[in-house]
Amino acid sequence: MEIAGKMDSAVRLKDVTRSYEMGKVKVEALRGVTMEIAAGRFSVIAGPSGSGKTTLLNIMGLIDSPTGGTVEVCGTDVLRLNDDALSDFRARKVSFVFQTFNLIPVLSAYENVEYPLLLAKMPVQERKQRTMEMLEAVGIADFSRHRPNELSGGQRQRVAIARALSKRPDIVLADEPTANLDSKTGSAIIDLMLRMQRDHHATFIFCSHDRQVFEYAEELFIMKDGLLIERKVTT
Amino acid sequence: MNKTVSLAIRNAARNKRRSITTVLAIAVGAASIILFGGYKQSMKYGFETNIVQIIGHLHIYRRGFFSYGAGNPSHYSIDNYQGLIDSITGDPQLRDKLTVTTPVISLFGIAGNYAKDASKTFFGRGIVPSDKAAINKWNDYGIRLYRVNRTEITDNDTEGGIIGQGLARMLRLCDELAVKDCEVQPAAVVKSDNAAKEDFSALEEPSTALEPKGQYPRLDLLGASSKGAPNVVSLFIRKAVNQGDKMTDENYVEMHIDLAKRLVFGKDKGRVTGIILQLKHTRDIPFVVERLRGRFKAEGLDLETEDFEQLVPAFGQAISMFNTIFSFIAVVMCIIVLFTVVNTITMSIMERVNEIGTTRALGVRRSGIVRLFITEGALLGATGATVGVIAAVAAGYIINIAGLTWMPPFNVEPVYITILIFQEPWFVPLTWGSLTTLSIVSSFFPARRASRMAVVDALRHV
Repeated sequence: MEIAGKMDSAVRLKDVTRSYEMGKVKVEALRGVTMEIAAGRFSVIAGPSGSGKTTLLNIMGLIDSPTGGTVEVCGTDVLRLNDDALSDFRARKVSFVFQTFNLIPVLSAYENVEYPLLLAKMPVQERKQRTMEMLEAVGIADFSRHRPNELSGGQRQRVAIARALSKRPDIVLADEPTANLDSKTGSAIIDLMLRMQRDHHATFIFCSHDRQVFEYAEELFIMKDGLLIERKVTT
Repeated sequence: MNKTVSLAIRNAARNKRRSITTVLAIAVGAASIILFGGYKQSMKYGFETNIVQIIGHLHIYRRGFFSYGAGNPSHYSIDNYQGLIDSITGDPQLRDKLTVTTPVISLFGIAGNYAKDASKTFFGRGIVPSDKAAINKWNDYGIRLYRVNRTEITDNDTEGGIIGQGLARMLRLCDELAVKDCEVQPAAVVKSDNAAKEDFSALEEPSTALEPKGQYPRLDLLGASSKGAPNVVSLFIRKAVNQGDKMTDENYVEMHIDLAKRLVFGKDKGRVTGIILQLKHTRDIPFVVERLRGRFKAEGLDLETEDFEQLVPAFGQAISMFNTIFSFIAVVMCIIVLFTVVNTITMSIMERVNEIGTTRALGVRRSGIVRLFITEGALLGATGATVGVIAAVAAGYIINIAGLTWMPPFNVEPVYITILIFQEPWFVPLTWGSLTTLSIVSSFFPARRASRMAVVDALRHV
């Protein structure tokens, strides 16, 4: 197993463990993962179902806490932060693209993209401009007034990507973002994310077991049974 | 519009049926509280108006009269009452607050109808008819009243008076006074005894007519004079008036104050048992009482004041009863609102667990989630309370113009069923604010629970 070298890292994990109690059974989702993900790269965490890749992604996104180990995101030891500070950290530096899109159903496409900017308290004019820029960038500007239930799966994921990038986060975490899309739409979405990653210089961390996605990865981490078993750099 | 409010409105509109049901439940609660509260207020102000129209706001008595005067009114009388009245009405601090200042004599004795060999103990009062008519006109709250004028005698009618219908029945004056539903006393009970008549006649003043004056029946009233000697005057009854409760109706005699003076004080015309003050506004009572106390003390007068609530304890008891019923209704309504809102917000949270996880993942703090659901609760509460206020105002208006009446206990005339929603300016805003606040409080606990869900668990929720 190869460990990332000492470079500017977006995420740095050391001996991270995560176990759950499921009834009387203790499930060890992560069994001591140590890894470092370089900033500004398109990284993919791959592995079969149950390998712990989603748990790892959740810990990197500060929406789950490890049972043990240390987690450093963008140079911050996030385990020292309280809940409000973690929320603020996510609001500023981390974005998610979910498999099920997770758009807020009562908001239009425009408002969904604008929402993180409201949380960041961006001034109105700048917010409007940024939102429209992002909608245009993902090719969905014509549907800005549509609500999620009026959009196709691909269009929803484009809105989700625009939402994830609107606040210019340091890290974008995507958990199987193409799993609910057909292969053609999935490819388009991956192309879009690659383009956005290049344009915005954000760190993209993908979690997938889709081999189509691996081809795009600059860094590929292979997980199995809660352990990081391999790291490949494809650049 | 603030994004939280905008989100709350949209989320409330998501499940229209549930939101409308919640709003209606709150509206029913608000309308019930306001309507019954409005009715309670109409009862309070109606009672007050009714009492003040009869006995005024304040009575001035010789100290001790309130406790002992009924047994010996002449002993607890006020000397030179006209000087005292002039002094009070001339007081620059009191002048503008008074509407009527009038003397009154409370008295008791035996009333006899010689023509039919009937007699009965009585109590009553002597009044100045024109002042009584003025007192009857007080209606500071604009209450819709069934009766306007209770005066049957005039200032010139110094030998006239009224009696209770029950007393008329006992003195066998039903036909003469045209008393309705008046049972004739069985013949076996009536016995002729001229001895009393003869004793009574010997006490009469020579100037008093011995026969009915015109068409009015005469009563001979026996009382104790201020010196303890028996005294008799003749009263010509203008009308028998129902006094509401049986005891008063069978004992009450109201007469011109001059006649009462003759009976109680004989030739000493400068004395009365009390002075009635009627104020422009009930709220001025504390000021006037304080001012009078100060004057009595400064002038060395052995006088005291009693307000209408002290003189008629039933007023406070009735208000207390209505307050208790109102509190009970308000508490029940608040409990219904509380559970309705808790249920609605809990259901809303259950349906949006994944959404809560998403917003938390986007960076919304726990307090943001609490704020969102509290805003939804506040929105439902405010909308429901507003609908309730509108419904209550509409229903109150319809009830007020419908002219419905009922007969309260101890009343002579029926009273209108009236809803006074805006009589107390704070009542509607307080009800509205309380229900909205209750909705917020009801939302808080489910909202707090929602905010404490683990983000990752919420995102997994389907």
